[in-house]
Amino acid sequence: MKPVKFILISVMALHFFNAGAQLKATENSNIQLPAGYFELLESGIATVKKKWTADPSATLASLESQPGWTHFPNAILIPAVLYSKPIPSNKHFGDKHMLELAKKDWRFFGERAGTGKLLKKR
Amino acid sequence: MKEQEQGNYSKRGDSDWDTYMWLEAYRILEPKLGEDRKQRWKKVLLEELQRLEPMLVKRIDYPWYNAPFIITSPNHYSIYASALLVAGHVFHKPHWIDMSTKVLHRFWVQEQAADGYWGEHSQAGPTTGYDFLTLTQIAVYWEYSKDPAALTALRRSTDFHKYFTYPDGTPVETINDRNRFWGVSMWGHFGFSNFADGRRYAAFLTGHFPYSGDLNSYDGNMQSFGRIAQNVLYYHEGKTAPIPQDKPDYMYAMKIPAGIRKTGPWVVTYSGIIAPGVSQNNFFLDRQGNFSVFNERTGLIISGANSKRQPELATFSEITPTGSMHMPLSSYFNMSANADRLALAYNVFFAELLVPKPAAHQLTFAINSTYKLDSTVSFMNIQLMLAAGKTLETGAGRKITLGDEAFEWGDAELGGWIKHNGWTMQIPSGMHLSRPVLLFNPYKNKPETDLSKAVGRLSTPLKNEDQKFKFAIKVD
Repeated sequence: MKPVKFILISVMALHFFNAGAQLKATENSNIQLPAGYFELLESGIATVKKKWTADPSATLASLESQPGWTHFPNAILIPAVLYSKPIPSNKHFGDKHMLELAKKDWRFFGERAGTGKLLKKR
Repeated sequence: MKEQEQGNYSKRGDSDWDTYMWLEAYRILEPKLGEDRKQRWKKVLLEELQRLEPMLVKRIDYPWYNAPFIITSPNHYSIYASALLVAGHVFHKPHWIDMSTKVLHRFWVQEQAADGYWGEHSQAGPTTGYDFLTLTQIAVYWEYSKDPAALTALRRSTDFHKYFTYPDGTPVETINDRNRFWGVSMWGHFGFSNFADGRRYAAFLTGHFPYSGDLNSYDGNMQSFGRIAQNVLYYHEGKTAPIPQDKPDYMYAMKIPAGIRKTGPWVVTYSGIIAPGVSQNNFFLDRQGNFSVFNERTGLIISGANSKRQPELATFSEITPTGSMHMPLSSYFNMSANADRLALAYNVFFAELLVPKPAAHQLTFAINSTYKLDSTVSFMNIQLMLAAGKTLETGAGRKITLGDEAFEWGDAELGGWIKHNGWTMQIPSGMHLSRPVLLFNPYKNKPETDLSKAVGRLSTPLKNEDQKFKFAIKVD
């Protein structure tokens, strides 16, 4: 077994880039949870859809080479949760569009051995 | 297609973090996937997860789950375990449950420090940002095991994090031995949500997370959205209770020599943590930063961040005929009702930082150095957050917009005070201000080249005699 890679340099370097950031206390103190999470997830899935639409031929490598898009496969859980979580603040519960988005596995997992072509055809 | 068949997904670093997300998606969508897709996902998931088993087994009885022993870091190791724990339940593999339970239970009974953190290098001090990752795995363990030890660990972890978070939601850098900065974390809120104050803390962090996503920092990229989705899966609703940030004042001293005090808009943090330098592993910084000053209106004014191969940014440094030192040999820390005292000892001198409880618009502090013996070339250094693009004024009439140009000013240019970004600092005579000082980037293992991320160095050489330095910071 090869030694475990200590850390993914290209991803973690982003910590450092914000070293000089100056953030002021601007808390949205009205946040209620878990409703606040759903607002963020809606924002997140909109961002992902926009990315997909803008570049239909994107590969996992090309997506993850862009700042902020490392660990892109995390995106799969956003529509999966929106589709399946029966909470009043979740407007997307049972939304089949979210289910279809979650099934777009070929986009990011299709590049692993032997699965890309098969899944992309579906 | 040829490239696709080479298994690019698996070759990516930390692909197991993504596999966990896929596993959760499989778990909650299984009845909706259709048999064909379900079997395909299951086959690939099992292939990916099986890669973790030998990595978990190999280290399971190692003396400590810390980087010097397990080669990887505790956050990674705990993620192997939690992924296999969930997979063991989803795919009915009892041996995965057993081995991951052994590891994750030990993260509480042996690995968690009494102060509630999991140090990446040792228990001597925290690794604040990555600690959010490790606590997330303990929270997963609690959800699946209901092991009371896990809940105890989460209680301690919630206390640690809620105290060491600035009013803007970012974790305190002064006690962190790996990162100079960490964004607002969305990892593991569901662990906090087991407690009333933890639910309030989770809401506090969420309230500071950029609504449209924070694509400029590590903790705000796609990982954060994945972790927000994970929070939804395991969040515990209930009443909330106030957290320290809700109060006008609070102070908290750890069992190790470190602490934090909030007084109105001011937050001052301290570290007298003693830890050896780690020369070979570039991911660990030297614990050479010892205090920070934050104001709610201006953000961080003095950074307490640590660094590596940068003694010029250490709070104190000394060069003796037999070597150099930029981390303290010993320390003393005390917080009382009206003042805080941090003392740091080196070979030739020791120094005391004295910080009275600040007033609403002004914070004062004094640094007293006491000469002990022999001779040395010693420096006192303060890291100033000087933002590019903003003006810097001095008591001597200098006024510039900070850009890429380097400068080094002494008394003649400083004139006793510095004004920047809404704050004014009164400084003693004999100080030098230089900028930019480029920061060590542990992920590149060399200094950063982006000048806009540099800090300012306010410094003075120490004499081989007792000295007193007084400072005052006002915010309009």
